[in-house]
Formats: sequence, C-alpha cells, structure tokens
Amino acid sequence: MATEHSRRIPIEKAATHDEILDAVTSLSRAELKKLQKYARWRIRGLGRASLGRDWRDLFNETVEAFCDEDGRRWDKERVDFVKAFREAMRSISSNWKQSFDESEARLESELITTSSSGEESNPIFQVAAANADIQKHLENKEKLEIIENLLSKRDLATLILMDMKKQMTGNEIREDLGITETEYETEMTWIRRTVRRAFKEQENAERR
Amino acid sequence: MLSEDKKYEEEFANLMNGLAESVFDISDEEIEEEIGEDGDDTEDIRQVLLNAVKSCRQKKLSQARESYKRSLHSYQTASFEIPQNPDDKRKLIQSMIGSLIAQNQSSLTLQFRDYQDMPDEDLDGVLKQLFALNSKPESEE
Repeated sequence: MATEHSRRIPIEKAATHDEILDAVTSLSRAELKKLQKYARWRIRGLGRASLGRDWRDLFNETVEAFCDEDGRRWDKERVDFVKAFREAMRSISSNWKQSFDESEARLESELITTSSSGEESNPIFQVAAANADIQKHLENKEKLEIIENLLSKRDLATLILMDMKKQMTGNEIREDLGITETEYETEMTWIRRTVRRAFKEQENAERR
Repeated sequence: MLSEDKKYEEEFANLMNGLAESVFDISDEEIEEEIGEDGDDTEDIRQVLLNAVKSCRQKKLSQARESYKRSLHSYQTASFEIPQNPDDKRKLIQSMIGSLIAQNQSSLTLQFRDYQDMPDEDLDGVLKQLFALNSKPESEE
C-alpha cells in the first residue's frame, strides 16, 4: 500500500514543514474542495466509529502524520501532495474504524459472563446504551433505504449502487455493467449530486 | 455470517467510501457548480490545513525547547567529583578528551587541547564542560 511505502521514507526525502505549507498554499479551489469532500465521505462511512470526529479532525491528524518523524511522511519527489494526503486520510480513517471495531469486540467479550449453568449473560443488551447502538444500526438501514429510493429513479444508478455496496471499484463496476467511462462518470455525477443533496437536507433538518 | 445490522453498516460504509474514492474523478466544473450552490468556503478549508501545519511546527519547537531546558538543567545541577590537585585535574582532562576522541567527537575537544598551559583556576570550568559533553542526554545522540 502506498502509505506503507511512505512510512519508510527516509527523513531527508520527506517534505519539511515549509514545503508542506507551500503545497497547501498552492492548492487550487477545486483541490481544496475535493480533499474536504473526500474527508467528509470517509467520516460518514465510519458511522459510529467516527466518535464525533469530522473532516477537520481527519485533516488535522493527517497533517500531524505528515509532520511526525515516525508518521506517514510525504515524499514530495515521488507523489503530489493531493494524492499523498488522500492516501494518508484513507489509511487513518481505516485505522480509526479498525481500532473502534477491535475495542468494541474486546469490550463485549470482557463483559460476557457465563453462569454455573452455562448460560451466557451480555450486559450490553441490558443497558440503555444498547438502544443507542440499535438506533444507529437502524439509521444505517434507513439511510441506505433513502438513498436506494432516490436512486431507483434511474436503472443504471441502481445497478451502480448495488455494486458499490459490494465494495467494487469504479473499474470493476464499469466492467461488471459493460458501460463506458463516460456513461459511468455521467451516472456517478448524478448519484453524487443526489446523495449529497439528501445528506444536506437531513443535516439541515437535524439543525432545526 | 454477518448479522443483519452489521450488513447494513458495511454496505453503508462501502457506499460512502466508494463516493469518497470517486471525488477525484469530479470535473472542476462540477466542483465550481457545488461551490456556487453552497457558497465558497475554500479559503476556510485552506486555513484548517495551514493551522494544522503551524500547530505541528509549534509543537516541534516547544519539544525542542523542553529538551534544551532539560539538558541545561541537568548540566547545571549535575554534581561532579573534581580532584583538588591541579595535576590530577589535568590527568582527568586528558583521559576525558581521550574518551571523546574514542567516540569520534574529536572536534568537540579542540578548544581544550591546550589544557596543559591553562591557568589552574580555569581547570574546573574545563572539567565541568567535559563532564557535560560526556553525559549528553540519550535523545541528542
């Protein structure tokens, strides 16, 4: 994985604070917006594992990793800032998810007790917090259903959505559906716009 | 097999991550259209990044400052056993210079080379500096 390579970048090849500052200063409006959008989608994908973090937190942790001598340094000679930053964000958000899942599994296994008659007891299901978890799972289901309904207006969008849920990449989806890059991009533009508006409406409703 | 709940969680995460990956295929026109709809917050986004880099730099500076303070403090508070006799002091200086040369730090000892001709009252100062050089904190090595 590219971020694994960047971990091994010798310090003399890694960008300095000044070089990172220069790179940020030179980012175009479109690049800034794309990085923010990327961070937002990744945070949404974390669900409960986001633990209240937002795109700013992902930006901050990624910059910290770039600056840390033991972190994911940016090899400025090899890869441009936007690509390196995106890869580091992907890796960091995946780590957040992984450590959340691990700690949740550990916590649950530590809480499960077995009585002398061999009956298992899991206090997680007995406390009010469990309701919040179930609520969150329902939210995922509801959000998916809302998105599916919105996209059901177009057949191709529905097919793309089904493949995306299976974690297929853009290339895999195009191959699976036998569509051209242009057809795929046109549909993806509509999907992004539709889903983004749905989230925006939901966020506005939550604010009210 | 995944529970129903876990399945929805994974499918939702896959969809969101897929949308994230597709962001870099977006044309600049689509981005501009979005900026037009939502308002231009691109300079705020830049500022978040710039602040993060500046805060890292500050953190690094304050770590260096702390480390310097610690080494200064250890030098000032260190107690050295300095011989009373000037000849013994000169012998100790000679052995400490030898030790630094053995550690490939001969450049540091240049200023002390003429210790044989130094007035007796300067020897304590030279010894203190050599003690400090010989007991550098691990982090500086």
